[in-house]
Order: sequence, then C-alpha cells, then structure tokens
Amino acid sequence: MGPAAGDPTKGQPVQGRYEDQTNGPVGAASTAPGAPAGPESLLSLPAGSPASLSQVTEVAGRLARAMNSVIEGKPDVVHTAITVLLAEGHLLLEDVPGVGKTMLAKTLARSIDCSVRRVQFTPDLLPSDITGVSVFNQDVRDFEFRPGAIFANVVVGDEINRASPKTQSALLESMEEGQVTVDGQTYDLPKPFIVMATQNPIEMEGTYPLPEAQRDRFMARISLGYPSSRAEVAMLDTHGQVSPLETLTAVTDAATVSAMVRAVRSVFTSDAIKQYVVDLSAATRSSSALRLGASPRATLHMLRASRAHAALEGRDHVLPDDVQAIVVNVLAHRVIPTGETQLARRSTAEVLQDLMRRVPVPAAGR
Amino acid sequence: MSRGRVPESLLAGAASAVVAWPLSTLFTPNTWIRPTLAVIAVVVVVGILVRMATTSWVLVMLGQLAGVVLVSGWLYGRGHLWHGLPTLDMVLTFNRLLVDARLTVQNYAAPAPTNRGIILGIGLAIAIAAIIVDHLAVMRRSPAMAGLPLLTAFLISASNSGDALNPMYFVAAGGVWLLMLGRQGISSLRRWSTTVPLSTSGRRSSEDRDGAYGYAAVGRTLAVAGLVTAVALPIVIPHLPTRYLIDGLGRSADATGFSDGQIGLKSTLDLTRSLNNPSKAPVLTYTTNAPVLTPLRVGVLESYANDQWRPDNPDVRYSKRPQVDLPRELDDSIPRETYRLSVDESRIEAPQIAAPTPLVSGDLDGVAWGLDRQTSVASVNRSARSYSFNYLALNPPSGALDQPVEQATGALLPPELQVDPASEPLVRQLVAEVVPEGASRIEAARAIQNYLRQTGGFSYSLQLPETVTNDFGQSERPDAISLFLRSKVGYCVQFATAMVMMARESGIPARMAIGFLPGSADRGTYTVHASDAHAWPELYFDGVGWLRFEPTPSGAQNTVAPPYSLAPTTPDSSDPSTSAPSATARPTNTRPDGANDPGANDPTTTSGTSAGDSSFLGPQARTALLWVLIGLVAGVLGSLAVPLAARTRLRRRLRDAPDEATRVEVEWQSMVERLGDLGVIPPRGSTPRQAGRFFQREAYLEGEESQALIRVVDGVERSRYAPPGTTVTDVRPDTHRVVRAVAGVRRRKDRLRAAWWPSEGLLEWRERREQLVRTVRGPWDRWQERRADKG
Repeated sequence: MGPAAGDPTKGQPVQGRYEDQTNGPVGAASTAPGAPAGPESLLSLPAGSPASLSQVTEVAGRLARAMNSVIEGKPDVVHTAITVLLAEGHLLLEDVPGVGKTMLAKTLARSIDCSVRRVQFTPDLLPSDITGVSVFNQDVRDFEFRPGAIFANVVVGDEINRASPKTQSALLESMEEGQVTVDGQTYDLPKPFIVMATQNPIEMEGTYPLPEAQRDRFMARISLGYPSSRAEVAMLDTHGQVSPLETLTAVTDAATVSAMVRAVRSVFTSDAIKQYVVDLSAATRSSSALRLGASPRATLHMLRASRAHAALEGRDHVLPDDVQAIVVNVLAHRVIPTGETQLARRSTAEVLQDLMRRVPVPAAGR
Repeated sequence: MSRGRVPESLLAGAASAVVAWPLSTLFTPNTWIRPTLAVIAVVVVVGILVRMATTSWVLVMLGQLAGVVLVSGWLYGRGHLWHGLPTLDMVLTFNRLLVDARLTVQNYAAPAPTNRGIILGIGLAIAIAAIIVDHLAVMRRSPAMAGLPLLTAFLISASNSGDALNPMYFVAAGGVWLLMLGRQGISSLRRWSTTVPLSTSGRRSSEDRDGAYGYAAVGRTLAVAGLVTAVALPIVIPHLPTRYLIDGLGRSADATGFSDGQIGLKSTLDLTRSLNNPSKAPVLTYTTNAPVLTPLRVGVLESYANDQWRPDNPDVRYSKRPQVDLPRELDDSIPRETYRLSVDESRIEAPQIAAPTPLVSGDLDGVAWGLDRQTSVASVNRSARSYSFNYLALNPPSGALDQPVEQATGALLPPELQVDPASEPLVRQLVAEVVPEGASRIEAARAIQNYLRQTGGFSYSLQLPETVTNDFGQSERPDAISLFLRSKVGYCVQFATAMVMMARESGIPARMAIGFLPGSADRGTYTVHASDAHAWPELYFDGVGWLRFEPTPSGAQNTVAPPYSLAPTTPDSSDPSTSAPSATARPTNTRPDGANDPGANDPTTTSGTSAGDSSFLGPQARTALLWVLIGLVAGVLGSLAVPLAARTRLRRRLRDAPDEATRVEVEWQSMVERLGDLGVIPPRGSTPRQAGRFFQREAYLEGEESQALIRVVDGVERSRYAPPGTTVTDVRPDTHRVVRAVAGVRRRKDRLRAAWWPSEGLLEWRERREQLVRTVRGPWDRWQERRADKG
C-alpha cells in the first residue's frame, strides 16, 4: 500500500463533483480566472517580471524539499513534476493503485499557495462539470457562468481513464488551449495552470484509456513505482498517526511560479540543441523498433522541458545533457512500439535510451 | 599442462619438421634428418617447459634460442666447447661450416652432397623456422599466421630442386597446417563459456542446437577441397618460369664449379671438389656470323694457392663508348678476321659478361662497360640481357709464335709465372719429361697440351679420386695438382690448371680462363647451358698476346683445340670432324713491365664485386642491404607524413577559425580524436559532459588533470550551447594536459599508434586526395555540364 492509502484527509470526494481545496486564505478559493492568488510572500514577485535563475533554483529547491518530505524516496519523480510545472506542461501519472499518484499530485498542489481543484473522474461525469455551466440567475435575469473544476491553478484529475471520452476531451481541450469556451463566451484559465491526471493501467474494466492523440497533450508521464523497503518503513513511521500532507505548508505562490515560468522561457537554446531535439524526434520516427514516432508537439515539449531542466540546474542555456535527462519521460508515452519490440519485451524507455546512444550530439558549427 | 599447450606445441613442431621434408630431394645422403629433428624437438620441449613457467613470449623465445645454440654446439661444435657451453671458438667453427654449406649450395646441382656444414645450416634454419612457427601458432594462437613462415620454409626447400616436387610433400605440409588451424579453432570454441555440452566425438550430438557440427563439417570439407584443388589445379593451369628464392642448387653448378650465373659466376675455383649432375639450365643464347665458334670468356684467374684459384682486383673504367682499344702487343702482321656475335637472354649478372676475345667494339644496349686494364676481361656495371660484340678471330702463323721461353730471373716472379710450390717438384719432373730441351714457346706449349690431351693417359671424369697410391702401396692425399698428375683423373679445371703450371714451369707466362663452350646450335641460334661452363689455360706470346690452349680431352664436353696449338705436321686425330679448328687468341693488356702486382698474390684481397668464399654477403646481398637501407629511410620519412599532416590540419583549422568558440570546438574535436587514437573512444551519442566523464573514468584522471578536463568540457559546452556573447576561454593548455595524462595510462602500443598513425592525419590525407581528385576532374565535369547544356 502506498502513501495514498493512508490519506485520511478529506475522505473521498463526492463522485462526479469537484471539491475545492485551497491552501492558505480561504478567500483565494473563489478566484476569478487569471487573477493571481494569494498574498505577497517573501518569495513572491511582482506580476510579469521573470525571476532570476538563482531564484528559480532556490524556490524549486524548497518545493522539492517540501514534496520529498511527503513522497519519500522518489526525488526523481518530484524533480520531473517540478520540471513539468515550470515548463508549462501537464503531467500524466500512470501506475498501479496505491503507490501515491494522487498523493504526488496533491503534494505539489499544496506546496504552492494557489487554487487547487481535484476531480474524481467517473463514467457519468459530464463535460460541463469540467468546464463550467451557465445558469439563469433570476435576480439579474441573465445567464451567469458557474466555472467548472478546470478553473484552478492546479487541477488534479483522478483516474482520468474512468471518464467517458467526451468528458476526457473537454479536459484535454482546455489543457491544450488554456481557455474554456461556454455558450460562445471564452474564459481564460488562471496562470500558472497545470493538470495532473492519474491513470490506472491495471484495471481496464469499464475504463476508457486515453488514446495516443490525447496522451500526446501531456508533457510527461511518470510512473512512481513501488518505494524501496527503507522508504516504505519510513513511510509507516511518518504516515502512522497523521498525514504529512496535513502539516505541509505552501512554500511558494502562484505569482512566483509564474515568474519562474517566465524565467524558464528565457533560457537560451542554441541552434545545436534545437537540431539535437529535432534529430531525436526524427530518430524515433525512423526507428524500426517504433510503430509511431514523436510528434512535432513532442519536439516542442522536449525543448520546453529541457529549458526547465536547465533552469532548475541554474544554467541559462540548455545542454544536450538536459535534453537527454527528460527524453524518456517526455517521449515514452507518445511513441508506440512495434509488435516485435513488445514481443522482445523491450520497453519504450529502453528503445529511447538506445536511440539516444546512437544520435550524435551536434556541435556548434552544424 | 594446459599452460604448456602441449598438443599445439607438438603440432607446430611437426609442421616445422614436415616442411623440412622436401629438403631430402636436395641433399643426399639424408644424414641431416636426425639432427634436424633433434633441434626441432628441443624447440618444442623447451617451449612447453618455459610456457609452463612463464607467459612472457620473450622468455620462451630466448629459452628456445638458447636450447638450439646449446644443442647445435653439442652436435657440431665438439672440441670447441667449454664445459658444454659455447665459446667464441665455436662461433668461428660454425662460421666455417656455414661458409662451407654456402659454397656447397652454390656449386652443386641437386641433390648436393650432405656435409657437416649443410647439416648445421639446415638444422639452424629449420630451428629458426620452428621457433617462429611455435611463437605464432602457440604463443599468439594464430596458426593461420604461422602458415607464412611454414610456406617460406617449404618454398625454399621445394623450389630449388628445379624439378616438379612430388605432391605428397605439399599434401603433408598443408595437412599439418590445417590440423593446427583446426586444433586452434576447437580450443577457441572450448573457451567460450557455454552450458551446452559440446560434441567431443565429432559427430552430431543431440545437444548440438547451434549447429556447430554443421559448421565444422563445412570447414573440414572446404579444407580438404582446398588441398585437393591445390594439388590438382597445377595440371591444368600453365606454369610460369621457376623463380628461385636462394642461390644455388636449382640453377646448380656445372663441371667447372661455378654456378650458371643468374646471381653471379663464382670466380674461385677449388680443385679438390668433385662435381656431379651438371645443370642443363640455359645461360644465354646467341647468333654469330663466324664460321668457327669460339668459347665465351667470362674471367681470368692468375693467383693460385692452397688448391684454389682466386680472383684479382678488377681495374675497369666503365663507359658507354662502343669502341675499345685492341691489345697493345698485338702485331699488325697477324692475320685476322672480324666477326659479330649477338647475345640474347643472358642470365649472367653484373659485373660479369660472356664475351669472345679480343674485342673490337660492342653494343650493350645502354649498359656501361669496359675492359680490365690488367687482364683485358670485359665487364659491365649492370647486367646486360642482350648485347652484341665485334671481335677478331686471330690465326697466327707458327713463325710468329716461335719465340724463346722466358728464363726465370730472380726470386720474385710475376704472378703469371709462379708455380704452386706444393706440386712444383712433380711439375718440374713432368716438364723435363714432356718438353724437349731447347724448345721454343709454341713447341713447349704444344708438347704440354698434347701430353695432357692425348699421350699422357689422362681420363676425363667429374668424380675426383680421394687418394692415390704411392710407391709403397699406401693411400695418400697430396695437393690437388699432384693428385691429378698422379691419378690422371679430372675435369677441365684440373687439366687447365696442370697445363698452366707446366707452362709456367717451362717459362711461358700462363693464366686460367673461365667461361663457356660455344654451346649447341638450333637453327642458327646457339644456346649455352650451365653445363657448358669451361676452364682453359691462356699462354702469353709476344706480339700476339694471350692465346687459348685446350688440354682437356674431348670427353663429356666437346672441346676443340685451336689450330695453332697443334703441331703442323701432326693432324689432330682426336678431332677428325673439325675441318677448320677455331682460331681464337686472347691478347690482353698484360702489365707492360711484367712487374709483380702486390695485390695479386694476396688471397684475402678478393674483388669487391665477385663472390669471395670468406664472406656471406655476395654482391646481391649487398645490393639487398642497400635497398633495405633505402627502404628504411623512406619508411622513416613516410611514417612522418601522417603525424605531420595531423599537426598541419590542427594548425590550419585553428588559424581559419572565425571566432574563439570555433577554436574551442576544433580543440575539442582534436582532443577527442587523439584520445580515440589512444584507444579511449566515448560512445557515439555522448554529450561533451558524458564524454568528459568517460575520459575521466577510463584514464583514472584525478586532481589537476581532472580539473583540466572539467575546464575543457565547460569551455566546449559554453562555446556550443551558451547564448552569444558568453566569454569563451582558450582550452588549449588543458587539452594538452588531458591528452598527456591519458597517454600516461595507456599501453605503449596505443601511444605509438597515436603518435605515428593519428586519425586526424589520415583524415587530412584523405581530404587532400579528394581535393586533388576534384581539381583533376573539375574541367572534365565542367565540360560535361556544358555539353549537357548544349544538348
């Protein structure tokens, strides 16, 4: 059993409903879309100005420490989650039940002082539950928009493959576009905006696994895997009485994260790096071990994730090493292995590692 | 025992023994076999023992060499050892024996007689081959490579008999070699770790899932097919002329004891040697317009000592002038005719050349030539294959030759009058018997020739008697001339020597000439074979010069006495067919004053270009040495080409680099290439950082060197990936430091390869070549384009 099993916090949310989980002041919960939430903390910055790289590493370090105190023994996973957050991507958590997928999502959400919503996906969840609905207000005699679950900085979509494809589409569309259109009216989603969806690959009965096209919208997929025995013993200690999630306090806020995101955007990528990313994508497309290669969107996501990775290391430019560090997480869920590869029991991760060994790193003068 | 690798060692020894087998066709009797087998056995046993003690191939080889030296010392150097250990004395003995062996090989046609020198020579040569084969096949585990020394040894023994070799020798050698290959292949296979049991019976076992048996069967079939093809194919494909690897045997010797001359005529004559089985190999072919044929002279010898004729120092000025001076002493009144003789396909090597005498002019097709100022012998500075000479045929009347003999004056005689002291009493006695009192020169000469040729009771034989019976009925062995004069058995060398000595004793200057008899005719073309080699005396007559005489009876060779040498009143009954006996004379530039040439008597001052018997290095060996030296110098210079190209390439690229970032990139690439040459090659898709970590791990860099590497990697990353405007530092000192540090931990082989064969240098040369090709092809391509445009 993973940490999630010992989570006694709020109990299960009502099926087909979403719950508000706001950290910090309650008033921030009913945020207007796009408005930065939370008070000015020490680490927060004025809106619109990018953070410096040292700030990025500093804040990211805090974030990682806070998350590692809850998710024990998984620093890599935490690092990837933060990378995706800073790269403005969305995260797909895919693993067997009970290893802490939801826990990871909630921990990240709670570490940031921002609006958080959690959606438990069920087959009867409707698209309007995600996006929101216009309700006729008798007092003003007009339709009034009631925002759906998507209107938050951090959206945790639990067991996304249980919802009907229609509902999944609604979520994925807003993920991609960063805005919601209801009754001809377009509403912007708040910034920063990250969707963390969990998926259970074991129970397939009555589920609608995400098709490739939709998986492609997630920047990275993470599998947590079982904890090591030492981490599991430590978990029993810390989770025995009270969930560490309870004691977790926010270490940063939405504005700071936005500033960090802007800082990440300004990380320099040389032509050689761009070429390298393109080469890697091309290699997946021509590889005989893969039936489907990486899409141009995947190329874009790789570059953004690489920038975030470089920024987390405090570097103002991307190295091929940054690219290699994120390739497997960014590409593994997008490519489809051939039958032979599956028969040979090679995972897509192995195929990608193999490709990385073969694609030469371009030099500057290329 | 597995460290000793006994089966492989035994097989290698067997292979060495088998390739020595064909030698039995070259030497008889086969007394050399047992000592040679003993030496091979020593190599094998020492090899096994040393291998069990150490893995160093140097020690194994040294041990084997020491074993061979010791054993050959015990076998051949008895009496020259110090407590069973070799001494300098033994080395000298060995040298003598080997010189002996060399002479035997040069002088005899196959099969040559086996003497101690031959046994030692074969033993040592096969031992060295066995050591090399052992090293390659057992130590290096590459019996395929060992095939090369085996093949060399086999060819040396196989190719020199001049005859087709019985295929069984080849089948045996090839078979043993294939066995070695198979044995090595099996043991390599066994070293693979596998859980599947291997078939040990050579049959397909049920566990043979990998089909290894199938491969083995294919391999065996191919090997046998190869052997059979090698034996069968020569029947249907045309044969090329034989090429010999070493001098002697195949081209063999001839009746006079010098070889036929593709390598060079031996100008030393040993009178003690029997000859057998002269070779029929052709030496040259010629055409001539002369009605009477004359022998072709190659050289003359004046110094005789210790049963041997020795050559004098040549004194020749080479030029390409066609004309030469006639001998000064030739009187204009002597009747003469001029004839022409054109030689084709001469196999005689420079400086020797076969020519009639006396010469008037010659056309040697661009080869410089000249006459020896002392002996008037023609010689060339490089071998002439085809040439033609105009020469005089002299027919001096008896009156011109009727002159008094020279009286011995004083102790110091000119060399052409010196009689061998060992046989002088007997010669003097014979001269007193044969030559009438008060005879003129020509009368004395005719008497001596007649005595040797007809009346003396001499018989012609290539086999010399070992001993003669003296007056007391005991066997004894006197000096060579006495032996001949008493046993009255010999061949042309003995006849000619006896006549020279008797003429000198009578007071006629005389010397020994060597060359070839006119040979046999075939439709106007005459072919001289090695067996036509001949020796004859030349006697000096004032006003005429040196004249040929012919004391050898017309036995195996068709020797014809010149007309002036026959008494006018007595027709030569032995040559009834000779209607007009050949008229030849050999006037030469003798020393004008007849003074003694101090060098002529010195047997050690043999000529620099003729093969003396005290030196292993013949002229061909010296030429080879020169070529080897030239090759070495060229090799050293050539080996600098690649490293220099690498340096040039790096300098040029650094100079051409537009900015500091490019320079850093060039430095990095150069460093990676150099480390790659040192054998440290990072995986293909490595980033600079990964490559740096790889270098650090592979070369165990630490401390300052590790820091240098980190600085290099950092510099490269910044130059490649950082935003423009970032300061990039020069990494050159750091790359040098890293390369030095990595080189320090690599093997010497890798360091040598990196220094002498850098891949950057190869790349540079390849680029230069491509550029050249482009430059050369450019106009052609442009022309093609233009043509295509027009079309």
